Amino acid sequence: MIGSHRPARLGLLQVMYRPRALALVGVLAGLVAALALASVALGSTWIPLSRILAALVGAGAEMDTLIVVDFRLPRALMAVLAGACLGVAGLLLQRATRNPLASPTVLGIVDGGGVAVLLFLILFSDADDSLMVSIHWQPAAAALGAVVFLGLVFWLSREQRTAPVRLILYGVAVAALAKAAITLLMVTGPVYRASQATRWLAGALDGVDWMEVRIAGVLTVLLLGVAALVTRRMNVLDLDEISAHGLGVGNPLNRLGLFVLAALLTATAVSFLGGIGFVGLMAPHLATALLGRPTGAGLVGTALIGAALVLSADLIVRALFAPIEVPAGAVTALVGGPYLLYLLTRKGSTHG
Amino acid sequence: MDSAVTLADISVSYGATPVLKGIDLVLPRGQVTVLAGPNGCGKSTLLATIRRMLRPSAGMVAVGQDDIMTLSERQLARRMALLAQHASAPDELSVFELVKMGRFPHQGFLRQWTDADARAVEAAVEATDLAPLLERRLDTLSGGQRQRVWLAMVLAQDTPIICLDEPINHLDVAHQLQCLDLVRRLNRDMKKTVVVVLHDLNLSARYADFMVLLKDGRVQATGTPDDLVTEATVREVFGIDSRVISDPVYGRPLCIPLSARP
Repeated sequence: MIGSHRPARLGLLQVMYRPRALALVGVLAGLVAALALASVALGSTWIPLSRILAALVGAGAEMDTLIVVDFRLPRALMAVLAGACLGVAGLLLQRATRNPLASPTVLGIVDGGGVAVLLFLILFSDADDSLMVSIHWQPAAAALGAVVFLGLVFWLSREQRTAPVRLILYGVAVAALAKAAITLLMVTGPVYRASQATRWLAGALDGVDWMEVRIAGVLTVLLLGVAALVTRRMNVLDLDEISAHGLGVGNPLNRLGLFVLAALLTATAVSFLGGIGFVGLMAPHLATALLGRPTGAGLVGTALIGAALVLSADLIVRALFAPIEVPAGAVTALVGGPYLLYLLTRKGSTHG
Repeated sequence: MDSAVTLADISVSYGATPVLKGIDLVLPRGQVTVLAGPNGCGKSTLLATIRRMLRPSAGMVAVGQDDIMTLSERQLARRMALLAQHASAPDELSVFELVKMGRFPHQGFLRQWTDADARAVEAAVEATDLAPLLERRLDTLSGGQRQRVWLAMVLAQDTPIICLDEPINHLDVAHQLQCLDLVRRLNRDMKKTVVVVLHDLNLSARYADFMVLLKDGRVQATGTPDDLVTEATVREVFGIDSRVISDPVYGRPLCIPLSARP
């Protein structure tokens, strides 16, 4: 009807959409599916597509089924879930702070999770270095750490939410604090724990089991559902504070709500995956460039691009470094670090 | 007088500093009301209080018959739109996407785009003459065009009352007139009640149906421009000597400030 937008009606749902954006979202979904399949096919032994499909429907050879269903599929699914969570968490943070640089890594939230994981491993170890509680509580500890550290950054930046560089500086300071704490805990803590924590801190996908995928899957679906519900409100928060107020989104709780949602999404991702950085920074930018800014397509696109980034990073480490298990977080940091530097040196990028 | 907004004994403080002191005011429905006065007199604060952006330390604001404190954010946004003084939006937004945002208070998760939304946006675009620019990105527009887009957004909100905070501050004289002419057209053709904060006394006198002069957080005088813009009031409110004549074109009062040392 108006330019590139078309109205549409689906039962009770009346929306406005752009055919081009919808097509692009389809392409992205296809890309994620292809990467996930490649991730299942690739490994110490190559499994062709036909045997993957056979294993998935339960008609494959016993060995294929073990490798595909028990080892590789959970790993691929976890990459998708965590990537989607991290991407959307970054999007929410960038909107809530009106700051294009905001993301779970830059704001020190991922490192916060790391501190909590170390504290968990040390506090709940007995004299023989064995854990007194189930290792399944480790994700909960990581989540708690992520939430606490995001809360800290939010509290520090409460007066200066619109000054982008200042917020980033708070994040850097908090991340530095977290890293110092991590080093201290690693050096003084039990050696065995230190090596276990190192794998988590670097963000590794190996050894993911179905139990973890199920928990992460439920959390991801719930949290992304809430994110979808608040997207329109988030678009209004993209305007200056007073204009947003004029449109009926003036309550500061709106912004706080976005922070909390972002913290929970980050926590979901990092608690199972560890410190995979910069996905939350890059995914929203790519999605905005492809799909435009103020849409539901942007949200879905961010989730898909986040998933594609983590899948790609995992594929790259497996293709280049096998049989050594290099954490996928190393690749995302190698790409994301320079990208952050580029953003910082670019001029006139203050309005998220 | 039919009242669109009523203020009863409103006081507002920033910390310990009182900014508005016991304001009683009735803003007439269907008219253009200009809030004017010297810098720091509290006119923008008054507008912010009317739009419930500030909580007064005492007193009550009513829209029609309703105390604004009893309305939800959404209800208030359906009755009063606001154009911010320093309105800002992301560069990547298109004109259409910003204008469309004006519909937010009327939409829901299921009703993201209804026929009413389409009609309101169309009317807003037509009134502001933006049809040729709809697909343009905001960062490709001139200041005057951008202000028109913001006005269109506020218009798409489809509220009986529109508040404007210094809408012509950063515009050149041609665009100042274009903007104020548009505001008056909205009032005359669409029966909007307009409350606008303006700096320029002569433009205020030219476009206002009703004027409110503030000084030091108090209402100094209210009335039509003819009643209000006099040499005595200008001296009282702005502290300057002036000559006020009737302008030869529109017959409105025209204030010519006199230099302190001629």
